[in-house]
Amino acid sequence: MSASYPLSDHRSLRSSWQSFFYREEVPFSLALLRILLPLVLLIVVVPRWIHSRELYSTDGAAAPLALNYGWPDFFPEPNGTVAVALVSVLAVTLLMSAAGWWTRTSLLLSAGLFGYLNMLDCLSSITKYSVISTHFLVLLGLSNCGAIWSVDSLLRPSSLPRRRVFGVETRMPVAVVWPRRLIQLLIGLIYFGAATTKLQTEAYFTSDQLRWWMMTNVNRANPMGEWLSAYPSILIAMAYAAIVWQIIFVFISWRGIGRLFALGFGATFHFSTAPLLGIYVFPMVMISSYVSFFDEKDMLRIGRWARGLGLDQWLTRPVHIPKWAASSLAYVTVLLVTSAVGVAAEYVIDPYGERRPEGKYPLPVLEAGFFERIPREPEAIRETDKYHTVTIGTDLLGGVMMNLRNQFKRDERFLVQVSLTLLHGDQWIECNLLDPEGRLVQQVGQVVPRERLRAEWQFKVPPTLPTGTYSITVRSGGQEIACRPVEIH
Amino acid sequence: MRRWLSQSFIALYLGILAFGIGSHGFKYCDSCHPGMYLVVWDMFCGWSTWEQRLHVIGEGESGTYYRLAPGPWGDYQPYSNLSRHHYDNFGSHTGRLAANCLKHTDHEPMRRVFVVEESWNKKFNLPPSLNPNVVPVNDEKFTYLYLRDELKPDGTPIVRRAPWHQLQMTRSISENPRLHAQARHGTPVMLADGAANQVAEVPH
Repeated sequence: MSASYPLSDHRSLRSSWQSFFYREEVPFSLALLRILLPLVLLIVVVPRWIHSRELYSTDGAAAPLALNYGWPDFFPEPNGTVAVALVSVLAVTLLMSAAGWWTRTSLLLSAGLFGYLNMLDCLSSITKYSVISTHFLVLLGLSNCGAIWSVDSLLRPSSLPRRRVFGVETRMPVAVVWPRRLIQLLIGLIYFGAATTKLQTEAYFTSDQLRWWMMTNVNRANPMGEWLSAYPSILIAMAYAAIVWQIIFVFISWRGIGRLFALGFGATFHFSTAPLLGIYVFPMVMISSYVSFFDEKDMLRIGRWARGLGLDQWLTRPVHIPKWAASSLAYVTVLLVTSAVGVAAEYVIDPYGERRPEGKYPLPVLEAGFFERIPREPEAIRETDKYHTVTIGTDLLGGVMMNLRNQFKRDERFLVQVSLTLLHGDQWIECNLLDPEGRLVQQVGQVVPRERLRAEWQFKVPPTLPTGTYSITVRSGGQEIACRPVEIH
Repeated sequence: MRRWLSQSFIALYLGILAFGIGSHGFKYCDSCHPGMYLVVWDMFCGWSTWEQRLHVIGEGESGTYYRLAPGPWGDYQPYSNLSRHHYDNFGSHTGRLAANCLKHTDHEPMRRVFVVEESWNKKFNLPPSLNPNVVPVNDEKFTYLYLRDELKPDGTPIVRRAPWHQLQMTRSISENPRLHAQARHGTPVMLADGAANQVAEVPH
């Protein structure tokens, strides 16, 4: 009896591994990801094409990521013509991946080219979403995602037994599920890693990181983020919710209500990064990848819904693909022609303008007076620039002011909070309550060390104080930084 | 054979992902190789309360100053309406950007290239219509211009100074007279490859 336990456990572990990684299913979800992801990536690749020479070649200003790591010659840089050809081929292999023509080759070529070119430009090409996309492209390339909804599937009619899919008798190939599992695990581990970053960033939990990030203008416009930056207590709640979700995602996203929550929260999280932070491609990549969490049954359920909308007729419409498309010669020819056309088109467009009749572009002269404005000695930070806001309210949540107001009854307590910016040094800050005539009623102060970004004072309005419009003044470095009215009634 | 290959790949792939997570979590070898960028998920780890822009300026022999980035042939704005060179936070690639601009344009002989950092408090990015209870301190925008690097026209550094942010951080600490006195005992000097006699880290 005792000897049978290890054997039983061993079998159980093995069978769990087998069913987790080697169950067979029709690769609906990976086929859908194969269609969506390359189309999303084309949004960034196509605008880069005309700048290929400048971004990725020895005839431009490539900015290899490896240089930042101290490996200057890690990847060879192509010359201008080759760079243009590579970007042209990348664009067409992404299109071919979405169409599912020579799917595996197209996906692996896309992954290689996309990864390589991005590594050559850390200023404007490589980001974490491009790395994540490269992982996805590799894993899709190893999967059988081209077996359905692809040119390949039309070129090579299957001899598999018929199955009923979308209400239509069809031959649907099945494939082992491990590439989809690796994509799921990758997504979960990305979130886990992102949560690790947040755990190492103290300012994430005080809302400071998120708040200043929302005020940053290096991504696209984010008016909702700028507005929300005025409510740090909401940001703290959002920050805690996001990190809990990121940590548990990999554990709960596999089935049932856990999956519904993980994906639902994730979709909301990623969608909200567009208006809050001005990030658009990252959410499109991540939300596209969520289809990998749908198995064959889920996709059939979605298919029934699609059939209700009449989409099945469009999906199952017969498409004629010429037989020559199945040959590798045709595929290679398309790649060669694309690169040749790309190179020729770029030559004609002449991005640097070197073959213009009037010759090279002249350099634009710097605006008059700009250089003279640069001080010989770096200026010290102005006292007012060390401060962000002065807020008045009654309660703190997670160390930030909430319940903001400036009307108080006599005998009521209220708080004044000063929010500082980085680089403020060690400060002595005074906070004064002045009466309507500007006479000092209360004066308090404290030392705020350089690492702190907030300071608070509590005031209790004396019951004997006459009603009126008082003011709170904050002084630092011998000058008044801010003055805020306070109504006592 | 096929099964064995796939199992090996699964184990290898998950092992690499686990190494990336562990490396990042324990700060071990997380930036020891460019490949680590592919397995370390440190999204948005950096943050600041200051907005930064870079100006790449060439000084012609006539004393005229020229703007070298973006190139006059057309701007590439990867993530917003900001030109590519503004994303070179460490200034590692600015020399090459300048040299490329000079290579592909018509211009008088150049004496030097300057990299100027412009910084301002991010509170000035906020619209005035924000919550009236959270009015930022001081509404007048002020930008700090700082001459960070001087380069040869081919992009080789002549003088590289500390970034503005680091400079101000150092200043805020060195306001302490005791630290200031101790720091004066050691002046940091950095000699760069291939330009040993020309490149020096300028102390502040």
